[in-house]
Amino acid sequence: MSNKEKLIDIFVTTFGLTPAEAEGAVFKNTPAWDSVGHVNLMNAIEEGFGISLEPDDILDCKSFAQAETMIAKY
Amino acid sequence: MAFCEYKNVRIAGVAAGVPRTIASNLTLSAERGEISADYTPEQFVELTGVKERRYSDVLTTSDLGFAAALRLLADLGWEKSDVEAIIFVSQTADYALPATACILQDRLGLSKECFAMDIVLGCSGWVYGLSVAAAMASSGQFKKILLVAGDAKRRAPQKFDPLFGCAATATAVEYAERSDGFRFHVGTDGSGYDAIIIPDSGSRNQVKPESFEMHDWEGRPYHNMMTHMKGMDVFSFGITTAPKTIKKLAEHYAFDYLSYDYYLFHQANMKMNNMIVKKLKLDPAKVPSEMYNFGNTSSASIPLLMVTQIRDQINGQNKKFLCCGFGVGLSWGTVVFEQAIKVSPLVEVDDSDVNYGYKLPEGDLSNV
Repeated sequence: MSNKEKLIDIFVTTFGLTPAEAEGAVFKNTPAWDSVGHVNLMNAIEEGFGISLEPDDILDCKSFAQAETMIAKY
Repeated sequence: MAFCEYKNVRIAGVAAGVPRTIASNLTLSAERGEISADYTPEQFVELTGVKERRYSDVLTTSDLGFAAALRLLADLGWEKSDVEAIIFVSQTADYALPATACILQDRLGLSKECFAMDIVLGCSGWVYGLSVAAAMASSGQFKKILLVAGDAKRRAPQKFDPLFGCAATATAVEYAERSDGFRFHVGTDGSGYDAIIIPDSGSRNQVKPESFEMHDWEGRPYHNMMTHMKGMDVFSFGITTAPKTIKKLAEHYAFDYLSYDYYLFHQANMKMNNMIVKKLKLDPAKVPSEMYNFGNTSSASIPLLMVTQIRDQINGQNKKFLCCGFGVGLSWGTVVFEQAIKVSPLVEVDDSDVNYGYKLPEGDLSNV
């Protein structure tokens, strides 16, 4: 499974989206992506990819595309 | 200067008062507007970590602080006449004026030769209050100081506030020669003043009938006398600021922040606090939590941890503490100290225990 597929899975599970919706997910347009949803997403990414995200990266991540770029840094 | 160190001062003891009534979050209803329609009560508890909290629509912060202070004075054997200062930290004062510290001076029977003042801060308030008390006592000019901190009954009825619990704490601070005292780092970012705010009831937006009109706020009905929180902003602030202030303090005074016995964090939200613990690579066994039973109790949360979660492990024993408060303001503070603190048992207060407060004069009030 590629990193992108793994990330899609995480968005689908965390926010209850379809895979197509997950790829286009943006914070302000995703009802389940509130502050608690964001914590759950960041925890799932850390566990799923075995990484520890820096606080500033956690703050900046507001879309699927940004999450993809963020993961590539680790 | 955001760093400060005070020697020859210590915490002699802490106590906490809470309403006896327990409000469960498992009976919350989205239909009644008590939680967002996005969650079931069970999901709300799982997401926030708050299953229940102490609640009273009668007891004020000063009522709970009074009960805690009485217990603390008795347990320490302090004479009331020896208390030279009382500092009240809260955002739920008894009255718009006078300062609640003045009311507590009289109610506790403290000397009229007593320094008394209020500090209006929330989640960072205990650390800030402690820094003021420590500064006053470290020179020996004030020998015994009471710090009362917490939040309880609101300025307007607010029955459903499922994250927040009612509590007040009393901390006895005293001059103590040769004590290593405290090291602090504190900070402020007022540009985030509206991240946590009660919009009406100050002089900027005075109370008016419209203050009680309901509107939607993050999926729940709110009026302008209720606490409005921008969840994402507060989360972002918490997970970045808490690790930074702790690391800054450790770097400034060249100590290893991983060497402490207990890490007492403001109880904001379980998931947020878990992430802070993970970012700092702390041992979770050294980071007690009271979210489940007490919720977010504002400036009471740190000393309430000592009373409700680790009393048996720390009471009268020399331990190393790192405490960090962060929240409304935006404001934050971290303090480290190594001391043996006397910890009183939790004081539970009944609504019927209160018979105090201003009464309107009887008779014709038509000309008032």
